Amino acid sequence: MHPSFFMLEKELLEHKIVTRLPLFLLVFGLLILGSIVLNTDSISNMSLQFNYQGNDAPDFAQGLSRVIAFGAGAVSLLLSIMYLAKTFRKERQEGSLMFWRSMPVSDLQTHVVKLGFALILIPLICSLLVLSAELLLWFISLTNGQDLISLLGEVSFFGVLLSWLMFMAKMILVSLALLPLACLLLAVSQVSNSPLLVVVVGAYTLKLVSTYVFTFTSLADFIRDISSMPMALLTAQQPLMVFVQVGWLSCLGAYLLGSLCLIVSLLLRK
Amino acid sequence: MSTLVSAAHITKKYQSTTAVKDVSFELQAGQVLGLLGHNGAGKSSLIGALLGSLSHQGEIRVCGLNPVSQRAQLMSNLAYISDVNVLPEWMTVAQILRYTSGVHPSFDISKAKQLLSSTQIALSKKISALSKGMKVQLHLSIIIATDTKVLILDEPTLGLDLIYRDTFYRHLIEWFHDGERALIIASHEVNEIEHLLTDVLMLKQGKVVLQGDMDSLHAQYFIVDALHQHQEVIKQMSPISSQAGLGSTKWLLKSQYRSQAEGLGEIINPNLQEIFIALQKEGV
Amino acid sequence: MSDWNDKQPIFHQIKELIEEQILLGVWQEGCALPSVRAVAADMKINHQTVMKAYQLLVDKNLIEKKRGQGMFVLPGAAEKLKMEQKQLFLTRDIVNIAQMLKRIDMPVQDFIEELEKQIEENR
Repeated sequence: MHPSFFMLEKELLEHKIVTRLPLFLLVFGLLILGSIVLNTDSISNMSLQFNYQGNDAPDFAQGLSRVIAFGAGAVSLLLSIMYLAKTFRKERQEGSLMFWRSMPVSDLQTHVVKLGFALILIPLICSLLVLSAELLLWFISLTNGQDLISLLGEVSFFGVLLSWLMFMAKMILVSLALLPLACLLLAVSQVSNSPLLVVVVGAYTLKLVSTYVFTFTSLADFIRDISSMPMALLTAQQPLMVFVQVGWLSCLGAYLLGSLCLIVSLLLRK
Repeated sequence: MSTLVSAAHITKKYQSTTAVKDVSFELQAGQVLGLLGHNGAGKSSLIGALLGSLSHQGEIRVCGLNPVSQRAQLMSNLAYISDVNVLPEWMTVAQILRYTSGVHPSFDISKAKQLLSSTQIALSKKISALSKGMKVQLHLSIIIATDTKVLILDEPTLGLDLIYRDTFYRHLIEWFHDGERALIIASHEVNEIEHLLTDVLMLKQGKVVLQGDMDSLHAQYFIVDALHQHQEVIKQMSPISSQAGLGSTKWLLKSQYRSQAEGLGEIINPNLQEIFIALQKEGV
Repeated sequence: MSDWNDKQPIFHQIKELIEEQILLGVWQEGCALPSVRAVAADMKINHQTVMKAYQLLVDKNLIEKKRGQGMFVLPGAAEKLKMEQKQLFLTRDIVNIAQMLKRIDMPVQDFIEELEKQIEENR
């Protein structure tokens, strides 16, 4: 098997929160759903409430799917950013850096694996959360009688797969938007012990200085656009439009800066 | 025999001080180099340069590779153990073996497990739960199970109890005997490593004060245990150091005075520790 | 690590140790000596030092190297060593004894009596 497989496995062992938080959320959701299903009174109450509000049932199912997808996406984003800020710093602080560097693994491969872990594996794990939550709803709708169907509307297996695929497609875009920031975090975390703070404070300072000292707002706009892009993608109905709104010039600039950060990070690792 | 390490004119300068000044040496398979010197003599800087983790002036080749630009490739054949634990504490023994087997092309996991089975180290144990001696033993076992050609040890037995010291050196010597390898040992415990060495490189304030193979080293110095009455004669021979005893004094002298000193007392071969202490004191 | 003296190189001391052990019958004639690897690991010394010691013994025709099997004590090795020690006793120790007798003013007759008494006790 390829060395990268073992390196990813090591990251999973080292950062257990990446698997534990989604698992915890799933179990938590399961418990809540279970209590609702068992308590049929509340279901009729809820459907009643929704009826009062004038929403029809199918919308609620779609809305629930959207809430699940947004929640899982936000968890994925949070886990990715936390991981990126922590991984290099942790190795340095605990002293295991010397051991990892004593292995015949190039710095580039280490970076690729860490980026892959943050931007591919973590979203994938969170997509499993989406899949299991959707499957659960579908299963409940199969076993539980009319009450729930009247609440959720028709939930089909095909619909479950579709929302899973939609989630993954969305997360690919989120990861793409996160890539430059990820490189920045990897670079900063090699010199600072609180990289997130440095990046946030740095971004705000840059924004303020460029706006009020140089009255040059494009830089502030650029920082705002790029930093808010992952979150905007998560909430957007049509994610591709977010890229259009930000504009190709800003995107290009972000990727150029990202590659620069990657190069700096590789040099710092030496 | 093949040259495994070559270092030419290595110099490392920090802002105000020079940590290593113009050090050159070569190491062939079968050689064991003792890197001696007090703290701050430049041992760590020299090791850092050999491992490719420290920028420096001069040219280094380990197994024919540049330690800085070809680090990943070189690490298949170069290993390092220091007195500071570098193994990740949060891993279990089994996990670190599995990881190494995945990323290290020449790692033989069954050999590592077999080595560990003769120790107290259980595969299911977390590294943080191991004693200092066990951690060093685990690290050595991992290295022995790879095709390491050059091993650098930096105060490896510091803080180890006698039993672990014994197992450590036993495994090390057996491993060294079984292949075409070179070993560099930096240590304060000169007595402990003296008989393992074939060569010595002694540093003082970044500069080489003694370099050569052990045989020539013993040919360079001798000790004469002479009665006090010969004191004045011996002082003419510019002794490097002296140690007064009952009725007589032991003088460390350069071998050029050997024929002159022969009638004055018993001639003794100095051990490395005595030469080390004498040379470190000299000129301070 | 071991107690080596500082009068002679270590390979010489190992050689003498093995000779003594052959005389004492620790290593019987025709039997294998421990491998270079084992001796080096036990004594915590460089294996080249052990090889040097074994070579000295090979040169004296006390042991032989069998390809792929290691070192073996040759027949007659103990006898040879006994002769050597006898020679050493006659040339070195007797001289010391003579000097000592002179230093303490002891008649040779007294010395021989004491020596016989000692031999009797050890019997």
